Amino acid sequence: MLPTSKSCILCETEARKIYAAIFGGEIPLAVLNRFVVATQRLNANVPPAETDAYYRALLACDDLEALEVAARYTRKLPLLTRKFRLMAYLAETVPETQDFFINDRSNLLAGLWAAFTGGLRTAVKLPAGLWLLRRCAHV
Amino acid sequence: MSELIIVGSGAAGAAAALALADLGLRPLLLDVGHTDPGAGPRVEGNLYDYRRRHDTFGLYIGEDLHGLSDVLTGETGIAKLNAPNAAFVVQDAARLSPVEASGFDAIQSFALGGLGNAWGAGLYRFVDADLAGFPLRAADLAPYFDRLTGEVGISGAGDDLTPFFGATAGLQPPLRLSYNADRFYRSYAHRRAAFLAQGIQVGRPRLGVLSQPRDGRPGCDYSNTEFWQDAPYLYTPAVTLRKLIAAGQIDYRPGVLVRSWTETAAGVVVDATDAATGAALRFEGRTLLLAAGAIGTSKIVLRSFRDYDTALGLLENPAVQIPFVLPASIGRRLDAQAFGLTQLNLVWESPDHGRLQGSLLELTSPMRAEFFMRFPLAARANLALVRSLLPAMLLMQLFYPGAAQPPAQLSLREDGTLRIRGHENAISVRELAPLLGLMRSAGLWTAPMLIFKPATGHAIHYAGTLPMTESPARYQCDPTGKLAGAEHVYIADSASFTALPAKNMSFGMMANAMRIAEAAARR
Repeated sequence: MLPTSKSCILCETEARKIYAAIFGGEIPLAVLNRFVVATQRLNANVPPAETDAYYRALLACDDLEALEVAARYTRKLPLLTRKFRLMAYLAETVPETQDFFINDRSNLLAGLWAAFTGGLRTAVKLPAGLWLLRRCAHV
Repeated sequence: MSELIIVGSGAAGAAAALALADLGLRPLLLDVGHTDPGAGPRVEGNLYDYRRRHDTFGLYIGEDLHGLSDVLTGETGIAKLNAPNAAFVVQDAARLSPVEASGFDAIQSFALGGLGNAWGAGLYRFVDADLAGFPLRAADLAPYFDRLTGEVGISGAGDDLTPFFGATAGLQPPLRLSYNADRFYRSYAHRRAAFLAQGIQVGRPRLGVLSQPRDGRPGCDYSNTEFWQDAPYLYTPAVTLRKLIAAGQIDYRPGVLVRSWTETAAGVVVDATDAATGAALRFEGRTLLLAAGAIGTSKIVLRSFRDYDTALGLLENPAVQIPFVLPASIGRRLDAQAFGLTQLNLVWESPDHGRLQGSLLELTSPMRAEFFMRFPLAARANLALVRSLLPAMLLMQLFYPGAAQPPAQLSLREDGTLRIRGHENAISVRELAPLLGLMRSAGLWTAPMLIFKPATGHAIHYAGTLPMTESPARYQCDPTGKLAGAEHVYIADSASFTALPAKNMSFGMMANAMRIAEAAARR
């Protein structure tokens, strides 16, 4: 199950799924290549049982965003949240993602709307994730 | 034989060297002395303009993934030390001085300029209240503060905090405030009476950051690059050392790891190793000034006395980090033209711990990803908050005096490993209620669940292992810094502090190092 440096197909799948969960769309090639290297370094710092549980969940679940927020709230699958953080750091380094991180135009209503819809989104994703977490735990 | 040997090139070592150079002496400075190889990319102009046009992997993370250290290890490090350009600051520290720590973040540097290469450059004069328990008064340090103000180039202003931060002579004008900091400062001015009634005062920081060009160095350009590259407007101790080395005013010997000393009738013999090869080295001098940082200096002292039993008390400023939101700034565009470190300071005469000092920081310089998972929502919602809420936020680092918790215990094992036993950060968030209420009235909102308590040691304000007293006993020094039980050894860094006020100690330590260097030279 665990990816090795010689076999990174799983790492690429992992990168694509996590990028899509956070940003949507196709992962930029530079971010993909860097994630593949970094994720193996991260895996090496984690007990095999933890990485095994993580990759099982990753492959079994389609809605990683829901799974991650539920995992964060229940303190399960901590590696999933670390991988999300890893992706955010790497994605921020390429010019094509800057609009996700930087607001160039002031708009109070848009800001309040983002906070409101963010809360709603979480209210939907969290129970879905809790269900997924139960299902993934039995994969 | 050298007349005077200084060990360490951090803020204390640089200040001691400056004092001796001013006297026309030429000390020998022993140092490991790692330097920035300067191989990383350099941002020309504003950080956010640069990000839109360039790949910033080399700037933010680096090929060795240094910038991802926290994520890869699962530990919470110092954000500024995770920048690739700061890798040299902590390079080799684990190998050169292994530490077995529990309940304490022990960070050491073997770089030219020491941890000052990654500091926030807060430089505050000690006033008498800060020196309670010390065998000296603020007036004893005043001439050295004046000399250093001229050397460093400090920006600041006379305001409500002048009684706490001392004389304003020689200061450059303060830096321009960010939008959010300016908004809060205006609000504070309107509610000043209510703040004062609670013992809380707000004002401009004293920073070793030029607001105007000076001595060939430019003024701050508000490019937000302070975290990511050497900024010529931001002073570090290496600025002074490079100047002294270039002028031939000190004999700088890099690549040397000092291990111990032995005293002779004529002075001291310093035993050291070549930091790269481990080969034994030996230096002779009349007087030894230890300025290797409180942890490094304590290790040298314990090893010189071959003491593997005694545990020395190590002081540190406990701290809390309080994120604030300005609701009126939600959705505002990012303040891309800002100074990315301390905007304002706050002093609070708290009922529980006495005088506390806070730094209100802009969040424009760190990576946005740093905050991505600090919000409590689903990932895409958090990403939206990074974009729309983060530009409306300020972060306060509130420092407590060292006496707010018991000192950590530092000892040396025979194999050369330092052992440091600390305590969990026990600061109570409930005690902050009066402060948070007033901040809310001035437009800064937070929630107790968002307040973060970093591990003890996180402030990197280590002190007090070899305190100075009028009648020094073992592992103490006299008011001139001379170590009890040694005739030719002086403690020039914060190891000699008797107490640790909540105020950032760097400037007080530098002035005291100059005072001690002069005293040692006179002998």
